[in-house]
Amino acid sequence: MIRAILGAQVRMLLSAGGRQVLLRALLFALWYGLWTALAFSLHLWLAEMETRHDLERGLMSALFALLLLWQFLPLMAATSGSVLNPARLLVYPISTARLFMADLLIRLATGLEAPLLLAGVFAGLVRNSQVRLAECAWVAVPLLLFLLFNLLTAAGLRNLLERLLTPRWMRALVIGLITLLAMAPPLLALAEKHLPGWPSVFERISGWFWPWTALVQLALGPDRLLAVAVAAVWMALATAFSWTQFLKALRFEPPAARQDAAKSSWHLRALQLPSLVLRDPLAAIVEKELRFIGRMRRFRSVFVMGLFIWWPLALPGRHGEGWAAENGALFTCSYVLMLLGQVTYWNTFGFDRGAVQAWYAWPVSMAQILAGKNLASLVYMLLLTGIAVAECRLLGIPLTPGKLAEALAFTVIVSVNLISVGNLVSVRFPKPIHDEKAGGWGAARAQLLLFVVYPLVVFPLAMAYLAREFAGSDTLFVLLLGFAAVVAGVVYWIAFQSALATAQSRKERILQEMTMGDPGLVA
Amino acid sequence: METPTPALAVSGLTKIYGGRAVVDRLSFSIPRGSFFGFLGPNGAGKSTTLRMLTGLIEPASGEIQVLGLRMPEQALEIKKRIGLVPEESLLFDRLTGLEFLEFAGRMYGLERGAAVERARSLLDLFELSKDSGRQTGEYSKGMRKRLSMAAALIHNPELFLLDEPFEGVDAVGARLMKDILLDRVRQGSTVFLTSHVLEVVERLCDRVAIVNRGVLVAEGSPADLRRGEETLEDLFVRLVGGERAFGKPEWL
Repeated sequence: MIRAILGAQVRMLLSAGGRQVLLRALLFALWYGLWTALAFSLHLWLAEMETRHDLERGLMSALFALLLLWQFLPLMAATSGSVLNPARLLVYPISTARLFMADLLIRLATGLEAPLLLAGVFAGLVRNSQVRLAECAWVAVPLLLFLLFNLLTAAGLRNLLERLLTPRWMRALVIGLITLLAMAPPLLALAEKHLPGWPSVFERISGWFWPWTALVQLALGPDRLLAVAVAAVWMALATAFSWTQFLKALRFEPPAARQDAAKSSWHLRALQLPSLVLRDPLAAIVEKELRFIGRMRRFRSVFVMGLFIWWPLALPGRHGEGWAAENGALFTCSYVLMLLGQVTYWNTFGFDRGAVQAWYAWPVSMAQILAGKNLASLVYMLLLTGIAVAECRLLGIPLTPGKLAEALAFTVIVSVNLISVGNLVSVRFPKPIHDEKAGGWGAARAQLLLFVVYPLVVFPLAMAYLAREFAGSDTLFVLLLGFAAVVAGVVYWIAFQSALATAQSRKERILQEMTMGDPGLVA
Repeated sequence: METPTPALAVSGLTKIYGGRAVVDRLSFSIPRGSFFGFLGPNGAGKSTTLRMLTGLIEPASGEIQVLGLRMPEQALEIKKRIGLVPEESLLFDRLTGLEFLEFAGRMYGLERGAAVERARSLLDLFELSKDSGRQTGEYSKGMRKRLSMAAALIHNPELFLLDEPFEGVDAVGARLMKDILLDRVRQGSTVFLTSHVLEVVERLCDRVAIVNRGVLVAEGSPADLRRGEETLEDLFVRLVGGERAFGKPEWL
């Protein structure tokens, strides 16, 4: 029975990308290639540790980082609404214990990134000359225990969050807290570097009572007896936590939905602003998109993440000097624009799903629809980058009026370029986004593709910056920036016309893709 | 006196998927003011035909005239004059019922104020007022169908194209929808309806067409098509070949 459930889940995952087999294979290879490369680097890092003491510290740090990753990724999925729905399987004659097993195995099968890194850790340990041949097989045991511990806690946490996060506002709040939590290690490291007397991160995570410390001791000694006792306690706690949360998830009934009608008048007036400058149907479309996207859990999660997640990247600019420090706001805007991709411009019909047929059935032109969607995306992009720039100012990151103007120009030009590419991608590879359901690694692949496209999109702007850096001429910089803006405008017009033609010629395919049915076991 | 153009006229309508004609040279005409039932077993090509009539998909060949206008050449003009309830939902699930109807109204060219006013009265009519502030994604299937029907009515169209409009709707809601449609027909509108519920079609429709595997097998008034004491269900089963014996597996 468990095999059948797993088989169904894997088949579902494999068929998730539709018929674009080559693209799927390419993205699959890119994604897992990236994680394999990371695992390989981890293996090299650990293999080259010269003393047993260094190896212990290295392994402890690696396990701690892996634990964070392992818990963080499923938590992210939970806050975007992704979770196996075991209640759906209750109709079949399967015991709760077996269902629990299936739940754990599915989580393992659908999240291979962390186990890949763990394999890198194992390879690094085995290749390290400090680990004796006789110990090689033994070190696998604590690593397997670590895998099981993480599976149990990640599953338990997700089930717990799924219940706690039923109110929509709660999800955004929790995602903010999780982001801050995940940023704690780099922020603490920054504090350690720049604040005298600040205790080191390592000191904070190396207490004997932590699970990762116990497992390092179990693997490399010398306190193996104490380590066994501590590890046993942690494993028992993780199992009990995961099992109780699983049982609660099985019995969980979401509370009745609340009414959305009572909204503050400023909120309603703000949403009606497009009508002041635009006419219907364009104004109505922009208004609908702002309202519609803004209510998506996935969008809210990304938006809230966008408020903090760049801090570790930008904060060094507060203490540094030179080009990177001066352009902290620019990096921030750049990162934030990428972050918003999947929930705004990258798959612009995604959230509409089956309702996309309304766009074809109602008496409005596709040009108006696409323009309305683009304007709404631009509003959110400018809003988030605006907030991020204001945060930079508050955090003390250097920001002169000139740099502010540059950041604004950069944001507008890059946004227009990204929206141009997004329009083409949206009509060529439309995918329904189920706000309440798994983003799966399809969402991650979309982000990965964005990383590939992004260098091309910022290329004209990079030229302007390079010209200023090497020629030392602000006039040349402004001229090239102006040129980049003109190019962005032309590219947008061409991409827009092409997207309109494709939206018409691929109408049936788009409708078919967007009305794809039930995702199966994941709900 | 000039004869009015039919509400809907199709000729030689064909759609091919994977080398197979799912709609095969379909021809029929519906006079204005008719309540027309379009019947057929699962996979007969009913929804495909309806999607071609609304311009959602293009036919491989054949001609479509809606309210005297040619589809797809005059698609925009046609869309302004038809009300559509498709099989899959048209609803944007993160808009509330009221917001969705207001938006639909504005898409059909109504001013915001008028759209809101009509939306409220339609929500009242379909007994959805108390849920007007809830997002449509949280509606039950029946409520979603009722809201779709309300959206199809908001611009007071001349022709309704409805794909299984009563599916999932409770008896009270279905009765309400039928009464509204009958009233619209009395006012001169035309209804094109697909449904699996033959009793409903028999009670409402003055004309029916039956398709099987994409081919039109019968067209006319239910009374003309039936033989003797035959019901519409008997007629349907006879025409689409459902009386054949099924081979039961040994273990069943």
